[in-house]
Amino acid sequence: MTEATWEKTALAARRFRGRRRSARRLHFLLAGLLILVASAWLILSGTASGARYFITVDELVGNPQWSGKTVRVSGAVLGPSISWDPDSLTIAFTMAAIPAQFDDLAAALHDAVSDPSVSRLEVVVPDQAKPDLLQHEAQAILTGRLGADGVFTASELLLKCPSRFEEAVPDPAIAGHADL
Amino acid sequence: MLAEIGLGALLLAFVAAVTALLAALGAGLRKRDDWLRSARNAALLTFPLLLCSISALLLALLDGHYQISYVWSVTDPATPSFYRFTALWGSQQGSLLFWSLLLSLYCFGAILLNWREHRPLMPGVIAVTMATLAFFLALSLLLENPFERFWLAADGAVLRSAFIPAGARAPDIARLAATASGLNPLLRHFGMIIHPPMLYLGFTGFVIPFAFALAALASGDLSATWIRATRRWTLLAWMFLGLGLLLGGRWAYDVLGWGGYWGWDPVENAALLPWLTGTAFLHSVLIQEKRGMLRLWNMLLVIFAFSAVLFGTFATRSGLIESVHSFARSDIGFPLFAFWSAMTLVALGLTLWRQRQGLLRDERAFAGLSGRESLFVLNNVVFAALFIAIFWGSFGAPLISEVLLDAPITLGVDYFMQVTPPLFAILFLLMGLAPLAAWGNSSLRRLGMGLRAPLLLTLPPLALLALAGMRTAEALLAYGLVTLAGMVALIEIIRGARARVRAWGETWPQALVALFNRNRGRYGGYVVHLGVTVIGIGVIGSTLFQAETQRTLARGESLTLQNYELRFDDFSEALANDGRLLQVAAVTLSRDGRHIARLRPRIDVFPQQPMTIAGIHSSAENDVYVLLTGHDETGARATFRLTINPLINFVWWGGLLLLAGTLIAAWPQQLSVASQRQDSPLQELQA
Repeated sequence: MTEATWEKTALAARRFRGRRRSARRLHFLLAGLLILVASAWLILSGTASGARYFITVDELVGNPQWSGKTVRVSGAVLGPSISWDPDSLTIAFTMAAIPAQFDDLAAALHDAVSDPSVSRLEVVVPDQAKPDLLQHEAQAILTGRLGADGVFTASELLLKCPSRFEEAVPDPAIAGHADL
Repeated sequence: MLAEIGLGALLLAFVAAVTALLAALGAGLRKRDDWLRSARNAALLTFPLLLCSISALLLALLDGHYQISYVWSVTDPATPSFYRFTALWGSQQGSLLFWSLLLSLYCFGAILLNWREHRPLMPGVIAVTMATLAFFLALSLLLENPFERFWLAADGAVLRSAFIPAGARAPDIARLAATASGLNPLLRHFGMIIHPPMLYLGFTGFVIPFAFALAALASGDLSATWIRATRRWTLLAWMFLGLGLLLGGRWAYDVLGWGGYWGWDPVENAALLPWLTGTAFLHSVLIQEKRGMLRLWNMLLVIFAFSAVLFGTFATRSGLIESVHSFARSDIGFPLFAFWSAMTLVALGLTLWRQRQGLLRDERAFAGLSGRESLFVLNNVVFAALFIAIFWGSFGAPLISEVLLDAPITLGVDYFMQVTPPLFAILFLLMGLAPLAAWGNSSLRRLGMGLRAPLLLTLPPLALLALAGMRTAEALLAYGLVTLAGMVALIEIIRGARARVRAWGETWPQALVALFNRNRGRYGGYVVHLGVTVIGIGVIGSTLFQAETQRTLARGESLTLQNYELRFDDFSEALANDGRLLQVAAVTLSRDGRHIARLRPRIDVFPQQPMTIAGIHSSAENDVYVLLTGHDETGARATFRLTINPLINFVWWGGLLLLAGTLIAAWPQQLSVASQRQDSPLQELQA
């Protein structure tokens, strides 16, 4: 009888410990799950609000769906159109469309500024010192919105000059060909 | 001659690596110890051979051998010797060779130091490290050869080849020198002599834990052996990578001229990902060592850390992503992608195989939410979430949207600033809680008791900050969590030392030295926590309270920001010895009407591009960062951007603490007589 009671007590204690362990494991899993769900929500909401569509000048100009939306757009800078007001720190220039895919960036930029038939976009960048890389045939990557007046107001301006750091082969004339 | 020596040594290193790989595979499959010794000898040979190869390239750079196309593309006769040295990693070919050298250095160290203790794992370790090295050496030999030279063909064309083409001759060296490109101006900074080597030491170091993990999977010996062998190597790689990231931040702050140090650029993020994975591993590996748990998870972390290194290398070096840090578009993209995929798939396949065999099963289950192992696991969950969030923002969303959507999307700084701060906040909270919890079944009551002192010590600094005018909820919460984590680490150190002072009558310095000697891993870890806390203080201050203004000024005019005033005094131009044109503005900085500094922000106009160099007035309180962003032709009017970065120097000081803590933790344990004294009260306190 005593033995049977002991067995029952031990069994109950084991069950109790098992339930407690399961409950703790459940708490632990819930805490981990909570962090994961919160992280997933952060990533999704961050993506929804932070996503910037990267489009071409052609797509922006030819499609009213992009008007008023914050987008990233890339094109070739037309040098003669660049103006900068040092008092209001406002830059204005015209950008020519470059294709979405190209093999040679320098060639794509050159073709874009040389061809008057490609789409062009008037750009204004407020509160911006004039960058030295803002010059003819530079690639501009802008983040901003196209207004109803057809002018693109950029909040961010990135510039690239493809000829700067391309690895090259020296000019044969300078490298010694003239001696031949 | 230097080109021939360098190329010959590179070729021999490749042959040695392949030999070592094959011999190690054979030794593993056929259990042949003589083959294993051959594999070891061949693997050890790769380091001196690559040292010889890179020395030849370095001598060519220092001595101006412009016929070597790499020397021609990264230096010119005006390049100072200091920057000729940094030019070694100034472009793709040189940095790839340097990468291989560091990889072989790690292999050299790992084989020598672990040969006796971990002999059964050596076939796998040598095979994995040598396969990786052979792959990178093949890239150098076939696609990005740093020893290619210029040749003049009979028809006058300039050719680039490692060997002399038929009928060609060497061009005139003086004329080559006159046309040499020179080093990218962005790389002409003191930080560049140390930032890339640190970063590469961090990246390549993760190959050793990965090799041990694969060796353990292949051999079936998944006891704690491989973990013991890899922890210190991981710590070393993690430390170098962390330092590389911090130095990169400092370089960006000084050179890129935008007033910040972390731009969430994809290349920066690519280096952060293995560091995050390594941090998670360094915590979770403790659980495997002490409790026999998380064996599968640790295996996955080691695999993902090295996989992230390979992916980052692919993303940076292939031209896949646009960044100020990335290399030019290159042919090595596809081979790198294939190698990354293959290594990751093989590692995951082996893990799955061993998991199915039950060799990665845990010895214990989790006891409760408040146990230290549970808090460590939650910390790992947050690290994993950070990894996913940053990977998604940097690579996932842009690449997937390019395939699935009409217009690809990019996620900028806004995304990262929205997603990562809450996750970092949870990490700091867990960093504060975990050291207070006991292993196993700790109670919430014990946790609460432990929190009382740190919480009490956290409140006064917060009150001071609030009195100083910082009353936004997010700032108070952020500083509260960061300070709490730091206080917990500090109190743990003081508690341990006080126990020694009371028990043994030691002086405080003696007690501290003995304490760190006795358990370097633990107390070094607390110093790392203090370092991260100090970095956190700097990051929060410089992010939440940064102030900025921009204006064009005539000489004598001023602009103001908060209680600072900047007056434009003068403008001058001068030509430097290395050919750059210096455009220098002289400005006077005052605070509350009191003169505090005269700064000289400038623009360095290199033939390739201009660089904006800030004038910085630095103090513990803040940096006043002045950029000359433009000027008219006469210099009568100039545009300035004035930025105040509060507490930014805490970021760099925290980095030094992090370095000190990691060195303490990684230093081999040598128990002194005093520190070996063990009695029950002390053990209890320090458990």
